Amino acid sequence: MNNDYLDPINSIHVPELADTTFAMDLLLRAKEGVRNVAVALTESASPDVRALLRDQLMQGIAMHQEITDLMINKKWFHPYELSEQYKLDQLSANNTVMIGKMNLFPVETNRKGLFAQTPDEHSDKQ
Amino acid sequence: MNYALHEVLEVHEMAVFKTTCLTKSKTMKALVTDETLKGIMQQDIDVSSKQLQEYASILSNAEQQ
Amino acid sequence: MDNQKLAAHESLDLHEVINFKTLCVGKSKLMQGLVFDDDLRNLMKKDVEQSIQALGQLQEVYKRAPFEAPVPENRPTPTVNLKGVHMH
Repeated sequence: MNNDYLDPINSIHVPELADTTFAMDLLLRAKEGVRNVAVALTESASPDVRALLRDQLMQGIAMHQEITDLMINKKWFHPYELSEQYKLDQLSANNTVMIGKMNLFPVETNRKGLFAQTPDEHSDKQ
Repeated sequence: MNYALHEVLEVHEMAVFKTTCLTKSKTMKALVTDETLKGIMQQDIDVSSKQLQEYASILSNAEQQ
Repeated sequence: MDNQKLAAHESLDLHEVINFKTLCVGKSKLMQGLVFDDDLRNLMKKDVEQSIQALGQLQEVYKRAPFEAPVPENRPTPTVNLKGVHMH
């Protein structure tokens, strides 16, 4: 990868990089969700709240497992072969740093003017 | 079954934590007067002992690898 | 001391932190294209710059992990099924 975001060479391996990144993000969110719900469960006393949180905790754990299995099957995640995992970690970090250094948004992204506004806001001009 | 390194480390930490919990529950039980609370503590001791043995068997499996 | 291998638990924590930081850089970068508020956008820019630096430092330490291996130029195997894509 080089620093030119218009260079087609950079589009090689992009589907893999994108999907591994999104999957890793989803995995971390699932994990964080499980932890948050578990903490909330240890703070709650009402039976209905606990039942709700307990169900959601189980759901969260199941979702986490599903994501983990998918990532292992797709070889995006190697919990048992750590040197394979090491390579993926360093590659994703390098590629993402490269993207971070690209000048992707050279012009301002303030596009508020593109959105409709209610007529009332301009009533003073009438 | 092969365990991943992070799993073994996690189980190790939980075993250490459980050990201190068990020790504490045993000591505290002797100081408690309320019978219901004593019962719960005894229950905690029984469950924790069983869980600790399960951790230990996982850890000894892991060491054999 | 600086060249000593890391302990297993430290290395796995580094793996977690590095992946987390990588996601942070990617997210803050791409969100810059979606954000409306210019102050918020500048803050995101600053976050990307700082995170890139932090990530570099973390990667340097991660090289001392016991399971460290030579990093290839690209991903070892294409993992996304592109069979459904028709080339014209």
